[in-house]
Amino acid sequence: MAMLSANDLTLGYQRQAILRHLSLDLPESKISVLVGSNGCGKSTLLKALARLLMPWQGGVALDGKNIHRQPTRIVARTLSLLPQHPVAPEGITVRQLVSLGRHPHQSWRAQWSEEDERQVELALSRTDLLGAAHRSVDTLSGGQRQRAWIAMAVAQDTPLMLLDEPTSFLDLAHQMEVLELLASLNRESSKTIVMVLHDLNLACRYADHIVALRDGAILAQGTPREVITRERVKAIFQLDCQVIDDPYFHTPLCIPFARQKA
Amino acid sequence: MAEIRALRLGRFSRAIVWRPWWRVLMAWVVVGVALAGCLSLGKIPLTPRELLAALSAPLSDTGLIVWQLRLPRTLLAALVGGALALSGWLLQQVMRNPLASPDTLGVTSGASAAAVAYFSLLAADLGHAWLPLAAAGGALMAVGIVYWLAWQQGVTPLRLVLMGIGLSALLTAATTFLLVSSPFSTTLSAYVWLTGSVYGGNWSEVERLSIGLALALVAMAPLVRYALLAAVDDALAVGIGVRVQRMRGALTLLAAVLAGLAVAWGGAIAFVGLMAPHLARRLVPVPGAAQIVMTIAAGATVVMLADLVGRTLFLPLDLPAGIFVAAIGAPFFLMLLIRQVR
Repeated sequence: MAMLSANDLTLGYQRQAILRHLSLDLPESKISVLVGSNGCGKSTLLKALARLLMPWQGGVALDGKNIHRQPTRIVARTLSLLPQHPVAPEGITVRQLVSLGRHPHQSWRAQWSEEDERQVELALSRTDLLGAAHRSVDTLSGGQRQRAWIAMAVAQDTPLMLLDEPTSFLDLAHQMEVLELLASLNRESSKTIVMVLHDLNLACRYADHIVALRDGAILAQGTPREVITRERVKAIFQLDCQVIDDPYFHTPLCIPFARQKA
Repeated sequence: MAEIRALRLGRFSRAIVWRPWWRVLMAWVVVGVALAGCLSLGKIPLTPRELLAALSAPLSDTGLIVWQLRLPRTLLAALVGGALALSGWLLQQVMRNPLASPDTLGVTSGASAAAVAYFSLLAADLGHAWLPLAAAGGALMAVGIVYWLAWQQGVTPLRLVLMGIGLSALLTAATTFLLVSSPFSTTLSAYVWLTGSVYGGNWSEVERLSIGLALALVAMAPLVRYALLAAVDDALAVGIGVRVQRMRGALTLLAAVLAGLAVAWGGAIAFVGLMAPHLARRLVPVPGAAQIVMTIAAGATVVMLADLVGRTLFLPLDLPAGIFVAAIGAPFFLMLLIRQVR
C-alpha cells in the first residue's frame, strides 16, 4: 500500500506562504501530473509531499500516518524522489550512482546484499544503461544522465515515485523516452507516479490524473479530459487556446494562441 | 558487473570496486620508499645496508639516530600529513567544494590563534607540554563557532564556507596582533610553529597522536558510506532516507578532530589538506574507500618528503616542513589543475 495525501497543507518559504489550505489525495498505482504556470506552487507541493519542507499547518500523510513522524529511512523505502536539478558526486560511475538508491535498504553490516545487486542490475537494464554502467556520470549525455537518475530511483524499489520536471532540458525524443519509461514502470510494476510536467500535451497523454494548480491552491483535478478544457487552460495559464481531440491518442490536445494582454 | 565485486559473509556485505586498489597498493609502496628515504638521509647519510643494520641494532650509534631521531620524526610527519589529507577530503565532500580544506572551516586559524596565545601568555610558566592541547582546543572551538554562526534551521555548505572564511580572517588578525606585540623570542618560536614543523618529534608525541587518530578512525568506520553520500545534494539525500543535518554535523566534527589533532602536533601544515585529496582524485577518480586510502597515502608522503627536504637540503639548517609542503606542493598542485582543465 502506498497512499499519499495532503491535508489542509499550508507552507512556504521565509514568511511567504506558497500553498494555502491545500488538500489532495493521490490515486494509487496511477500516474498523476501536477500542472500550472511558473510560481503556482507545483514544485513546492511536490517537495512538501516528499517531506523536504515542513508544513506550517496541516500535513502530508503516507499510508494515513504523518510523514514527518516516521523515520526518514522507513519513508524512503516507500517513496523515492527525483529533484529538479540533482547533483552527482564528482567522478561517480553510473552503477555507483544507481546503487546509492539502495541506501534505505542497507545497514552498516549489509551494504551490498544480493537483493541490492539484483535491484541495481534490474534498474540499469530497465533504463537501458547496462552498457554505460561503468562510465562516469559526468561523461553522459543529458538524456542518459536523466535515465541514470531515474534508474537510481528505480533501484530504490519504492511503490511511490515523485519526480520534479523529469523532462526539463531534454529534447523531444528524450522527453518521450523518459515518459515511456515511467509509463512502463507504472504499467508493469503498478508504481504510483507523481510528477511535475510543463508540457500540457505530454501531460495529457501520459497522466491518469491531472492536478492543476493556481496561486497555491488546486484549481481542478481529474482525468485529462475533465481538466484540460479551453476555460480551464485560460484560468490556469491566462492563455487563450483551442482544445481539440488528439487524432492519434484521443487525449486533449491544446493549441495555444497568443498570450492574453493583462 | 566487471568493476564491482561483492564481498558477502552471512549478513555482512560490501561492494568493492577492485580496479583502483592496485594503484593504492603502489601508492603505499611509494610511502614505504619515502619512509626509507627519510630514515636514510640526513646529516649522516646511510646506505640501505647501513639502514638495515641500524634498524636491527637500536643501541648502536646509527641505531640511535634512526630509532630515536629520524623514525619518530618521520612517523609524526606521516601521521600529520595523512590526518590533514583525510580531513581535507572529508570537508571537500561535506562542503561539495573542491576548495574546502581544514583552513576553510577555521581549524588552522583557530589552532594558530590558540597556539600563539599559548606561546605569548602561558609558555613561560607551563613550558611547551600543553601546547598540543591548546592548539587542538583552539581548532575545535573555532569549528564550533563557525558551525554555530552558520546554523539557520540546519547548516548549508555555502554558509559554512563563508562563516569559516570570515572567522579565519578575524583569528588571523588576532594571531598577528599577538605575534607583533610579543617579545622577539616568543615570536620566533611561534612563527616556526605557524609554518608547521615536526622538528624534535619523539616517540611519546607519535604515541599520543596515533592514539588520537586511531580513535577518530574507529569513529569514522560507520560514517564512511555517509562520506560518499555527503556529496549528493540535500533533496536527493533526504529522498534516499539520509538524515542530512546529522550526517553533516558528524562528518564535520570528525574532520575537525582529525585536523585539530594533526595541527596540534605538526603545526599549521595546512596546504596538504587541500592538495592531497586532489592528487588522490587524479589517481583514483571514482569516489570510495580506495580514494580515501589514496588520500591518506598522498598526504603522508607529501609531508614526509617536505620534512626530508627541510632538514637535508639546507644543512646545517633544519627548516620547518610547512615551508616545503607549500614550496614543492603548490607548483605541483598548480600543474595538476592546469593539466586537468586542458
